[in-house]
Amino acid sequence: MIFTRLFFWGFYMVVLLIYSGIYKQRAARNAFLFAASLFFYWKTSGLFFIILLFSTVSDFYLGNLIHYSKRSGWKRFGVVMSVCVNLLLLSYFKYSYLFVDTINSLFHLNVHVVNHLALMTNRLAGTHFEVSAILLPVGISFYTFQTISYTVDIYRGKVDPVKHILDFGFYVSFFPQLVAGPIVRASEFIPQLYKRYSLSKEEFGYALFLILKGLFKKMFIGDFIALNFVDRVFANPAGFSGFENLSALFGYSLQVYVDFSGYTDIAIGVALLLGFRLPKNFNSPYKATNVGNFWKRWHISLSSWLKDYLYIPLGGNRKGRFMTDVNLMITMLLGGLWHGASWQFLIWGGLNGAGIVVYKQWKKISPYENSNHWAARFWKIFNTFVFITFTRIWFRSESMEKANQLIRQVFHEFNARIIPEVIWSYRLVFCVMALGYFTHWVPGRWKLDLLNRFIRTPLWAKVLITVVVIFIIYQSWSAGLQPFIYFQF
Amino acid sequence: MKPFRIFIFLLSVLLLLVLLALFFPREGISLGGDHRLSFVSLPELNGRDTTGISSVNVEKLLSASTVTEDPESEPEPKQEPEPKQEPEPKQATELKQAPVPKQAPVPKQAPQPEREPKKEKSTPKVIPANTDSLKLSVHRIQLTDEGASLLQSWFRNLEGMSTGNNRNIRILHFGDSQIENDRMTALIRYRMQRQFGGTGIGLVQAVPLYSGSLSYQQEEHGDWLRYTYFGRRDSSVAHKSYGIMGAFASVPIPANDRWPSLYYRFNTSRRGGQVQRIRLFLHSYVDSATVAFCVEDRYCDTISGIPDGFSVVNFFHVEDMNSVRISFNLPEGGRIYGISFESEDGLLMDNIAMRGGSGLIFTSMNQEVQQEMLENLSPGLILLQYGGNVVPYMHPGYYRRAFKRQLQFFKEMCPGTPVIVIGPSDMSVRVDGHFDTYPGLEAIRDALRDAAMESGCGFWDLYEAMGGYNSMPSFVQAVPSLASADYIHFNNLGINLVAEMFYNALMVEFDDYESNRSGR
Repeated sequence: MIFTRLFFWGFYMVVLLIYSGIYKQRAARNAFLFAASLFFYWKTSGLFFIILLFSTVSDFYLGNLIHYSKRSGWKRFGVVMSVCVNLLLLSYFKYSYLFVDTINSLFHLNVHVVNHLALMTNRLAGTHFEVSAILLPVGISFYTFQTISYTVDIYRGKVDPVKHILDFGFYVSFFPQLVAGPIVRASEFIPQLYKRYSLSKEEFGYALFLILKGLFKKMFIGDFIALNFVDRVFANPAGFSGFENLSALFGYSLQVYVDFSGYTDIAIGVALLLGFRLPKNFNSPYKATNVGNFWKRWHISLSSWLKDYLYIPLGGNRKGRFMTDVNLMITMLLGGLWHGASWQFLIWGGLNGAGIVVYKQWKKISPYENSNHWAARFWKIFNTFVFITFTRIWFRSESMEKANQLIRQVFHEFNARIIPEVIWSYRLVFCVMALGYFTHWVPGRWKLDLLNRFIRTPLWAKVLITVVVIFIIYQSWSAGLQPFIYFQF
Repeated sequence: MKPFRIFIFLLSVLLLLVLLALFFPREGISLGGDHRLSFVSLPELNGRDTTGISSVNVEKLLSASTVTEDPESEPEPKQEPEPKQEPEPKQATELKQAPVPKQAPVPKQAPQPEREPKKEKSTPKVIPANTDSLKLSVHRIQLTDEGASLLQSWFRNLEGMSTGNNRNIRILHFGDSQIENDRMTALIRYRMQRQFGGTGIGLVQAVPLYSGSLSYQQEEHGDWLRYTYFGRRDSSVAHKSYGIMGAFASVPIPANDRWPSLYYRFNTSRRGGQVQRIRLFLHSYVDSATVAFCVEDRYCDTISGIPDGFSVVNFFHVEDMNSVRISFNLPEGGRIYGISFESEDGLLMDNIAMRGGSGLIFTSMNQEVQQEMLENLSPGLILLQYGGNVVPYMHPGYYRRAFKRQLQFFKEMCPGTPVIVIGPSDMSVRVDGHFDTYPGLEAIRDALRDAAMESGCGFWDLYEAMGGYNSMPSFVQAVPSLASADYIHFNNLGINLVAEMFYNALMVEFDDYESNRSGR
């Protein structure tokens, strides 16, 4: 993650210093942040920033075409072009291998992927790009969805086009959220382009709290359990007992949350310090009481995007009960594929879709659906959490074979007798996992109370707290590897 | 709050961190036991920021090479020098097949062993492994005169196999968790079987740690239990008869006329799944034990009268089996030391992985059973791949002496059979956030090499072959990754790269042998 690197914080301080001199001049501010974002993207992705520029330029002019055309045909043409160009771009870079592999296995062929874009560039410009592989540009899944939302929102009349291409470029490439979201809607962000900079002391405290929280979640919890336990098991599920596999699965459920939400926390905090408000992306997802509720709390910017730009255009719930379920399944299957180009992600999306569809029927007959008793609520949260964790088998496994191995180990090689020994040997990992889940499941008012206390502390105390938190994170980051333990089973 | 104030805030944090880095004790502050507080020092901040290390990009290398996660997914060469298959009588069975007579080793001028120059350890920074050279250059096997002579004798047998003089040649590949689940062996076996003929996966345990592979799937029916001599031993087992695999499965006693059984379903589209012969190494506690083989649940053959004690039961089938059920009627139970899935002709290679093993158990286990198994298997080449598990714990001098005793054991059990010792890979320990080669790893590697050289064996230095000092972080950080996040074990892609390097090293020796022979 780029936010955990020293390079990023050096870059950010330089940006802040220059920003301090120009933040009052709106046009210069936006142009500078656009340039800084392009530099940031160039440092993380090299020449792929040309793809980002292409997406920016094409959607800017298509947005203008949609807005200023008098004829509805041209408006439709503009929006269809924008969606097609963005999806083709995304498909080319992300799904070529899946497509070719599927064709090969269906028709017993041996077709190889050729990067025609690189081939064409080499022929036209005399460059020497690699043509035998297609690499995925960083953040393409996020910024293509963002630009689609821009042109579609213009088409729907929800937002006016951005007046200057530099402003639009800034919206598309704003560095805190460029690499991994949140996916910012044009209607949420574009009005901010024309507002003056403002940041209250409370907002500063909130932003700093989010950054520290994000770093702690990612580096203290996520990296530690991944390096010392989860990655080892998922690399070779058949080499570990069922209990270790199950523990790694629940560990991964925590890791993926602290990684992703930690990233988003930092992105929101970093953007806020520059005066820009990004939408909330996570809301204690493992407190969800059903799968549908989970998706309203997990990666909110993506699930709401899929709802507004896929599920509702498909017909949503307007075409009867059966078609509602079909639309839901299509949305979740494509949402699964968005996360990664493999059959595992399709299965993962399908399971989540099935979870929502089944719950819709279950709640009609559930004896405790409307109960406010704590036990009923606990049961619902527990079931949802276990189901979501179960689906992560396919989300995390690098291949179907490994997913099957994990399931096999859990059901056939559980080996309950070694549980105490495993827990004792990996006690630090289990302690960190327990801390992660504890901090997630504590009542929201406790967290709010801590946030308010932090916000109220004077600036000098915030400096000290920041140093202490970084010091604590360093202890986890620099800790020796937990030894590899051999359990015979 | 103005941006400049935020900048000053961050600057203040940075200054305090720099002060902390300046004045915090380099050795940290002990909290008792192994725990201590530590903080980055300024020199480390300048030069040891491992988060910013550029990974070795081997994507291009791997996509251009034939190394994949599954070697059998590679296309077969069009012309394959398969030995002619001789027709076999339908479903022949026999007890205690006589061991294949060994050919006496022919002494021959051996090339001088190559020694790699020791790498400088002046800097703690990660030295990325040059993966181009890993793949393209061959890291030679170090051989003494005796070792080279034995190897060339084996090459002669290998050649003889393609001319029909030898029907089977076997390689036993022993190792620790680095080769678990047929890793490394699978690629070498596949390459060699493609070149010299042969199918089948070789020896497997009746109750394996990994149930099945891409070549076969296994189901156990009955209360089978697995016992190992390596790792943690079950104290209820009083004897030391574990066989050459260091593990056995206890055969359940039949209950209510239901015989315990093992069911195997083979994937015949893979070389490893093409099986015409099964060899069963078992120990019955009473006379007149019975074992039944049922191919496709139709063609059944019952072998009765198996005496008490050690036996080898052979079962043939005229064509590749899709599935086989092996049922056991051992009235008082018994032990299975291993089951081998083989072809009638060609090269066979066994993967014998001992999790947590250091390769020192052979001399302390019951030698009689091992001898019977080795005589029956009649290996042409033995590979011993150990060392990683003793790195943090064992004195190199002791390890050298103890390992020499194991090599002596194999030389006595299998006279004239060349043995190649494969040393440990690089392994990392995390110190203050960066990764360093385990202290003592090179000493253990040296101990193994010295033991091999002093015993007239070959030695392949995996540690140097993969890049030497601090090469493991490069394997972990490579894109795609070549090693697991424990910084000890290779992943499938990485182990296949290593396997190909070893295969290339072996083939270079074979090419030398052929060149010398044709030049004579």
